[in-house]
Amino acid sequence: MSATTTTPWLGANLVLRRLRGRAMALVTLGTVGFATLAAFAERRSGGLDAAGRALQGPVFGLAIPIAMLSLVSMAFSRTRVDRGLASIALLGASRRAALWGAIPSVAVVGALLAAVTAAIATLAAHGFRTPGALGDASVAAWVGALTSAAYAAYYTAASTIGQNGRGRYVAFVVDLTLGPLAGAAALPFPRAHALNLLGAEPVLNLTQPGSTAALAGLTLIFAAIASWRTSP
Amino acid sequence: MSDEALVRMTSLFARDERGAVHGLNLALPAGASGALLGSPGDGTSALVQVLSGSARPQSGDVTVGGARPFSSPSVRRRIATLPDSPALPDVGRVRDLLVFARMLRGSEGPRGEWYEPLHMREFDDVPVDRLDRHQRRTVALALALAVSSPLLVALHEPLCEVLHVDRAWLRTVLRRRAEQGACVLVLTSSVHDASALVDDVATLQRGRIGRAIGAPDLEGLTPGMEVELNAWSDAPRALVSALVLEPAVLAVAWDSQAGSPVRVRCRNLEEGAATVARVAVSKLVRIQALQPVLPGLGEVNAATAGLALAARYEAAYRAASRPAGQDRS
Repeated sequence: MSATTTTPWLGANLVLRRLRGRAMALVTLGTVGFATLAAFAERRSGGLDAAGRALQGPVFGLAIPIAMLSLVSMAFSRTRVDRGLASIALLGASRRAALWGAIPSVAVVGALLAAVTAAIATLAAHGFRTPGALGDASVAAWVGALTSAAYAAYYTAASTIGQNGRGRYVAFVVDLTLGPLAGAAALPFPRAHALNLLGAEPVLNLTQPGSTAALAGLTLIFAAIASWRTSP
Repeated sequence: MSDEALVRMTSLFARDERGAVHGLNLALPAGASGALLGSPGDGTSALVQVLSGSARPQSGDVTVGGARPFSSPSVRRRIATLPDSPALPDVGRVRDLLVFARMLRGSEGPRGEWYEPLHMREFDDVPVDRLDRHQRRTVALALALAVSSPLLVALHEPLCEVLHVDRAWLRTVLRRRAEQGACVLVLTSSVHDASALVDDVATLQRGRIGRAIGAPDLEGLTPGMEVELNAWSDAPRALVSALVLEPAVLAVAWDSQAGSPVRVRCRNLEEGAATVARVAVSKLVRIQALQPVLPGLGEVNAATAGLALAARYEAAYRAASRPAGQDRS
């Protein structure tokens, strides 16, 4: 194996090892626990669309973005992307190449977490014996996985900005405030497209397949921005 | 500055949490071997970070082999570095880390030169995230010496907090790297360590290169290490009166207050301790505790600076007091 093929693999290995341990367990338990409790609360408050309200509100509005923010922060040792990869750069690895292993790793771990969270929250909001609950849960899981991949790239790109990568916290606030809007300002934010896929008002009247493509496109664009902003 | 400089620093300003270098201009050719004498507060650790490419200079420029280490992975592969606090990538066990390093660099120096001398077999199965500071620095030194044909070897305190390192062996390895065309730079706060590893030494004081120290200065700066022992006993007066007659003891001090130790200055720690023990047995004095007095880094730096200043003023005084005609003879 040459350095070209080794480096992304090394980046992936490094990040996957950082996404283990007590901190990861806390993030997982916190995310799933919060989403489940929120879903139960929506169910108890009554109404027909408890699952929709839970997913569009606490689950995709807070739990999944905060979980992804935490994962990206852990993946890069709570600092800037270039500093987070400094230990392998010292051995001669290209940070940029390592990032192409790091982002997919965070995306995969985040996708699993978000899929499980969304599915459990849907089942908790519907009730396990409700007809169609499993179908809704699988759709929510798919949307969660896709959204979290976009968030992984989005927060990584933001982590190239500011001292210790604090740009990701700004990115969280911007996504939180502009993402729910229906206008063009919401277009570059994962939240806008996730809400569309969950049945909320679409951004610029995009169809749901359009929002699916937009999330995939945003993942690639933000990954490219992160790579471009990181020194080799 | 020579155009053939392998390592070039131009108006370099670099900072870390412990210190900074200010506007450093330095050009080092291939095969150069030297030490910069200073503490992390003087910018030694910050300098290693920018030379190794793990941090970007705040301003100015640093190039190694014509490229900037921070943005050139191919150059970083040929930089052998031991930082102050090495951040080793957690990729599993130390054995896995060595394999990754070899794969990234494409080659590895002969294991007889670094693996065996640093007893790396002991660490092979230890997870990287469980290494303590001494072990981390030892593995980092091994990774540095494993670079097969380095452009630059930059080591921060290579004889401090590193296990199984031998001065003579490291000096030989560094000399060999310099002969192979690498530029060797040792950054240390110890005159002793600097003179043990390389021949040319310059001071780095508060981020600026001070003066070059030649071999005669080094001899003056390391006048034989004296050590001091504190001995607590039930009969300090008897102990003092017996110790002053011992040839191995250079000086004895005691301030006669209750509970204060007898301070024994000697040339060698073991010899001093053995002398105190022998005297105590012969005079039937009970020794309650015996402790070497270790100087702190600040004291070492102050002493080094003081000795350097004293040597400089002494030379200036001699030159000034010499009769005018003698200068031209």
